[in-house]
Amino acid sequence: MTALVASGLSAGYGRRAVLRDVDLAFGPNGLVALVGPNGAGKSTLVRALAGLIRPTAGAVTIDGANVATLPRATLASRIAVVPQTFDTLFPFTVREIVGLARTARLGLFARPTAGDATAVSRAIAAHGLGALGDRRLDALSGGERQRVVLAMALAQETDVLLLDEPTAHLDPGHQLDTLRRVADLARDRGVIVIAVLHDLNLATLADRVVVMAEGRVVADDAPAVALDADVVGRVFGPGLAVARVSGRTVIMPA
Amino acid sequence: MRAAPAFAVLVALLPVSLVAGILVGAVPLAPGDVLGALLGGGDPATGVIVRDLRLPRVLAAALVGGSLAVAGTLLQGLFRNPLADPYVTGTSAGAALGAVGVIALGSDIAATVVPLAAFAGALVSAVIVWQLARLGGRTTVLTVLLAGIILTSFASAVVTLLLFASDRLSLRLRAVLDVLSGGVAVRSKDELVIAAVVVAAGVVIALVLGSRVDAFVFGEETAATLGVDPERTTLGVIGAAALLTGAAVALAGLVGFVGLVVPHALRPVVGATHRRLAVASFLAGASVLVLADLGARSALAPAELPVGVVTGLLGAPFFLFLLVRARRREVT
Repeated sequence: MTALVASGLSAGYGRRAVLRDVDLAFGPNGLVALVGPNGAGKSTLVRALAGLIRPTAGAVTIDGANVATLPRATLASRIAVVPQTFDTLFPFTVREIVGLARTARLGLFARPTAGDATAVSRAIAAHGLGALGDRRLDALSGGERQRVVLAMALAQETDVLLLDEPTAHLDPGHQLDTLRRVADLARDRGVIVIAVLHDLNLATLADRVVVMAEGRVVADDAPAVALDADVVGRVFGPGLAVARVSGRTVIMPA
Repeated sequence: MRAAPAFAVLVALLPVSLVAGILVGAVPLAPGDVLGALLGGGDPATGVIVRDLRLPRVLAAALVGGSLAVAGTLLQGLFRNPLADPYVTGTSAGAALGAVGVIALGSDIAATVVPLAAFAGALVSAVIVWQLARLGGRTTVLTVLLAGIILTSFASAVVTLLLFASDRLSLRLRAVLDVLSGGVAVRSKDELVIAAVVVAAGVVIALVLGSRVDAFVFGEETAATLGVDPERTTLGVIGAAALLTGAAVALAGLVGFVGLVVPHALRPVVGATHRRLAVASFLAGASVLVLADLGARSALAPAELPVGVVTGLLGAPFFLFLLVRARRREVT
C-alpha cells in the first residue's frame, strides 16, 4: 500500500510563502478533490507533492522516501502529473505523446522494450484512443487531447496520479468524463488520485475533499462534510448556497 | 508514414550533392578524371583541384550545413519553438564574435584556436538567451527572438569596435569578411579534421538527448514529471548546439537560415521526434549547403559569392513566410 504524506509542509516562491504547515496523508482510498479559492495554494501543493519545488520547511514522502531527494527517473515511476497545458506546435502523434511516459525508463540510445510498448498500447486503448494512434495531437479536439495527456500519465504506471485543474478547458460533458476516468483508477486500481478542481459540484463526486484557504487546510473529509454551508461560506464568500438535492450536495449561487 | 521513403531520398541526395559539388567549378572537369583524382591517380593538376581544393570545400560545406541543421533541431525542441535556430537565437553571432576576437588578438591563427573561440562564444550566447528566455518562468516565441536580436546586435557592435580599434585586424580583413558574410573557407586540413570531430561529438550528444528533448513538448515541469532532469538536459542541449554552431562558424562564418528552415521543412515529413528529425536534418542540411555553395561558386563565376548570401536570399523569404503563418496561428 502506497502512502503519500506531507508533514509540516511549507513552500513558496522566493520570499512569498504559499503553503503554511500543511499535514496531509494520502492512501489508495478513492478520489481526492483539492478545492479552494484562487491563491489558496492548491497548485503549489500539487507541485510540492510531485517533487517539482523544494519545501521551505517539512517534507513530502512517498513510502517514507523524500520526494525532493529521489532521482527524477525514480520519481517518474512513482508519481505522474497530468499537465495543465497540452498545446504543441510540433506534429507529434498520439502514440508518440503517450510514449513520452516511458522516457525515464529508456537507456542511453532509447530503444523501447516490449514492456514499454505494451504499457503505451494499454493506455491508448483504455481511453478509447486506438483509432487516433497515428493522428497528430494538434489535429485533435480539446477533449481528445485531454484524454491523450491522461493516457500519457497513465502509461507511466505509477502509484500516484496528480491532476491540476484537469477539466479547466473542457465542456461539462468532457469534465465529467475525465473525472469518472480518474475516479475509476482510484477506486478500482488502488491508485492515489488527487485532482485540483475549481468546480465544487464536480468535487462532490470525489470520495474525499480537501478544502484549502490561504495556504492551509481548512477542511478534509467526505464531500458532504467538507463542503458544508459553513466552510463554503467562510472560504468562498457569502455568494454561495449549499443544498441537498436527492441525497447529493449541490453548490449554487445564493 | 512517409518517413521511410523520405529517408531514402535524403540518404541518396547527400552523395549526389557531394559529387556535383566536386564536378562543378571554375575549371570544368570530366567525371572520369574526378574519379581518377579521388582514387589518387590521374593528371596532377586535376588531382590538386579535386583533392586539395574541391573535396575539402564540399566536405566543409556538408559539415556546416549538417551541424547547423542539427543545432536548429535541438534549439527548436528546447525552446518549443519552430522559429529558433543558431542564427536567430544569437548563438552564431556569439560564435562569430569569438572567432573574430581571436583573429584580432592572434598574430598567427592556429587551426585549433578559431573553432575553440567560436565554440566558447556560441556557448556563452546560448546560455544568455536561455536565461533571458525563461525569465518569468515561461519561454515564449517573442522573448527568444528578442533575446537573439539583442545578442546579435551587441555582438556585431563589438565586432565593429574590434575592426576599428585593432590595426592587426585591418590587415586580416579578408578573414574577418569570411566570418561575417558566411563563406566556406578551409584554411587547412587540420581545421577540417578538428571541425569534423567536434561536429561528430555534437551529433552524438544530439542523438543521445533526442528522446529527452521530446519530453520538453509541454514544458520543463512536465519533462521533469516524465523523469527527465530539465537542468542537465538543457545544459547538454546548449552544449551540443554550441559545439555544432562553433564548428560551423569556424568553417564558414555566419550562414543563416539553414538551421531554421531545414528542420522546420522536414518535420511534417519525418515527424516531430527529435532523434529522427536530427538524423534527417543532418543529411538534408549537408546536401542543401553543398548545393548552395555550388550555386554561390557558379552564379557569378569566376567570382565567388559567400554561401551566406545564397542561404540569406533563399532563407529570408521563407522565414518571413513562417512568421506570417505563425502569427495567423497566434502562437507569439
